[in-house]
Parts: sequence; C-alpha cells; structure tokens
Amino acid sequence: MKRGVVVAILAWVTLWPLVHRGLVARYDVNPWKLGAFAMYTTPTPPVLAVLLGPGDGGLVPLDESALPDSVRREGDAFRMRRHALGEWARPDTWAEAVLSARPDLNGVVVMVQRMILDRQTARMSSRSGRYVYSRADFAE
Amino acid sequence: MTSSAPPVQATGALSRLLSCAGETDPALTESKLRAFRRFLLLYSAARSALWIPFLDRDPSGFIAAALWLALCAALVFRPQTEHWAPRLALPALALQLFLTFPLTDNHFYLEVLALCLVCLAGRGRAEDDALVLQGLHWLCAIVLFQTGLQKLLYGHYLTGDFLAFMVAAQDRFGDLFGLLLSADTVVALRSHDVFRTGAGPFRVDSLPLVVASNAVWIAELVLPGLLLWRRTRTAAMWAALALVVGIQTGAREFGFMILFSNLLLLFAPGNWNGRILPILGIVFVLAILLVFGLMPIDNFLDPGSL
Repeated sequence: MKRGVVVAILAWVTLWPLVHRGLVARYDVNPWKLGAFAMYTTPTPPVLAVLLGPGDGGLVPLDESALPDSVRREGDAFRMRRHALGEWARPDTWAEAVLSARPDLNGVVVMVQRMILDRQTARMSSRSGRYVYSRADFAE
Repeated sequence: MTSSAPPVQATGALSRLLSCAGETDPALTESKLRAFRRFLLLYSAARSALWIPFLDRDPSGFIAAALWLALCAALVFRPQTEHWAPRLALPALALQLFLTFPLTDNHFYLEVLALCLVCLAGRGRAEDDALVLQGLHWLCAIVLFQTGLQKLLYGHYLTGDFLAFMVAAQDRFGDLFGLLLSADTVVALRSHDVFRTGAGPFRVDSLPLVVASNAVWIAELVLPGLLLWRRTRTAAMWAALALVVGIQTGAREFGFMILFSNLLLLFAPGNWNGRILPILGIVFVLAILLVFGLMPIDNFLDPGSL
C-alpha cells in the first residue's frame, strides 16, 4: 500500500509535466503554474483584458473605473484565473456583471491578450482572444 | 501460478528501481528522515507565517493554517508525536492550496508532495523509513530532471533568449545573468519595451550567456542520473547544490532554494540535514522578525519569495 502511494506520487511528478506541456500549447495554460516545474522557461507577463461596448457606430473601450467595485473585482478575478489557466478561464461572470451594472448596453466584448516570446524571432508577439456577449446570453 | 508471475516480477523491478536511490545504513536513514521531517514542518510553519503580511485578501484562513502548522512544527520535535505531526499538517497545506489555487507556486506543490511522502513513515518501522527516503530521493531527482527537460522543450535556453529577456525585463533573475553581458548590451536589451508586440529581438551575440544558458538545462538533465548512481552521488549532490544555490540566490527564490537544498542534502553521506537544521531555524526566525517589522529590512531580501 505505502509502496503504491510512493509510486503514484513519483508517477505523477514524471507524467504531469508532459501533459501540462500539451495543455500549455493547446489552451495557453501558464507554464509557471499548476505544478509542472516549468518556471523560468518562458516569459509570462500579466494578461491584458479590456471591455468593449457599442458606441460611435463600432466598439469603444468601456471605462472600467466607472463600474461598481464588485464588477471590477470580477475583472481582477478573471485576469488572475486567465493568467494561470489560459483559455480554460472564460470571462462569462465578468461580462454578466458588466451587463447587470450597465442596463444601457445590449452587449459587451471582452478582449484578452497575452504577450509571448516568439521562439523563432526572439521578439514579443501576442496571443489574443475575443469573447462576445449579448444580453440575451444571460436571460433567465 | 503462471498468471501471477508478471505482476510479481513488475513489483520486484519497481522495488529494485526505488531502492537504487536508497540509503544502506538504517540508522542513518532514520536520522536523516527525522531531520528532514523537522525541517519540512519548520519550513511550512515559517513560510505560512511569512505569507500573511503579503496577502491582499481575507487572511483568516491563512492565519489559521499558519497557527496549525506552528503547532505541528512543535509536535514534530516530540518523539511521541513526531510521526503524527506531518499527517496533522497535511490538511493545513490542503487549505493553503485551496486558497491559493490556481496561482500556487511550484515550490508549494513540491512541499506538499514531500510532506505526503514523509507522512508514510511510521514509528519504529525501518522498512517504511527506507521507502520514504527512497521516495524523497526520487522526487528530488525527477523534479530536477523535469526543470531541465521543460527548459529544453520550451526552447528559449538553446539560444539564451529567455535569459536575455529577463535581463531586459530587469528581473532579479536576469540581474544574475546580466553580469555575463557587456554594459552596452544590457543597456540595449533594456531599451526594449517588453510589453510591446514586436519588441526585441531578445537574442544577444554573447558566448558566455549562451554557454551559461545551455549549461543550466544540461546540468539539470544530467545531474539527476548521477545523483541516483551511488558512485557519483556525493559529487553530483554538491554540484546540484551549487547550481541550485547559485541560481536561486540570483533569482532570490529563497523558499525554493531552502526546500530543494534540503532534498538534495538527503543524498549526502552523512546527516547534513540535521547539521544545518539549527541554522535554518535561526534563518526562519530572522525572516519572520524582518517581515513583521521587528527588525529593519534590507532591499535585497524579499521575504515574500519564501
């Protein structure tokens, strides 16, 4: 039994980093997080996430500082989760909170960008995601 | 009869594989394990205390965990309770994992895994002590290997790009490797806005930096094998210790450095974990005094990195 536990722990430490490497490539999971010992392998600057809403015939940035504290906390929580979990973290609850706080908006777009160091060019490039929500998405 | 042969053979092979990382002297095994158990719980208690002033949220769960771990650290020094103390500490670490996930640092996972192994040792059971020490040896070797493998897989160490980026970002880790570059190169690297798309290239024409960059991952891949092989074990341990202490001091990742150094010292021919334990105890007390403002703090020391 005890030998089995030791083997299970060692098997986990052996195999998980390899699975984690695949998750980084597929879902943009943070290499430095989740216990795969890939810290100091590649830069992982903080995630940039901004809110866009309809205006002037297109999309314009929403003033996050004008939103209630609870909504801003949702935004911070999303950025934190996104920084660690990559595309596994979706801004659904943040978007819902924004639309609750802004009844004048019919929809909101969350733009997410993470900087990466390109292996070929050694220059910074970015990986972006865009999440589009309409009020109907959160209708009861 | 014949159908049970393969599992028996597999178990035997597994046991041999585990035991190749073991210690031959049962008395030394027991004393090493006792010292490591004491270190680990002192470390957990100190780390937990050092987290508290840096929290940006409700600290009640963290304070409760820190107090519980301090109690466990006291219990580990009593012969009657030394084997129960790590088992009692596990729920506190589980709570801390819950509270910090998904931003939990990798050295915390290493601490949890080491504690899980230590929990398996029982009072007066030399066989279990041997198994746990083998497990800790393998854990140390595999983690060291994984850090090298990951650096190779991500590819930035082959050309020195990651280190050049860290120099540009004025990261404390980069400060160490910036010493290998000319002042002009450092200035040029730091002129890039690392948060702008297209910034760079973070690639420098510096043989010392590229050699150092490649030496890091190669050492991390090679040393684990040498740690497990008895004939090269001691030399490999000192080499790995120098690597870890050198890099982690540069990065000022003191928590990882202390934890991993103690894992490496389990490979030593004597009970080095026991010998340095009083010194580490003093270090932990000083760090706590510094963080809680009871002693003046120097900019070099960032106790949050514990």
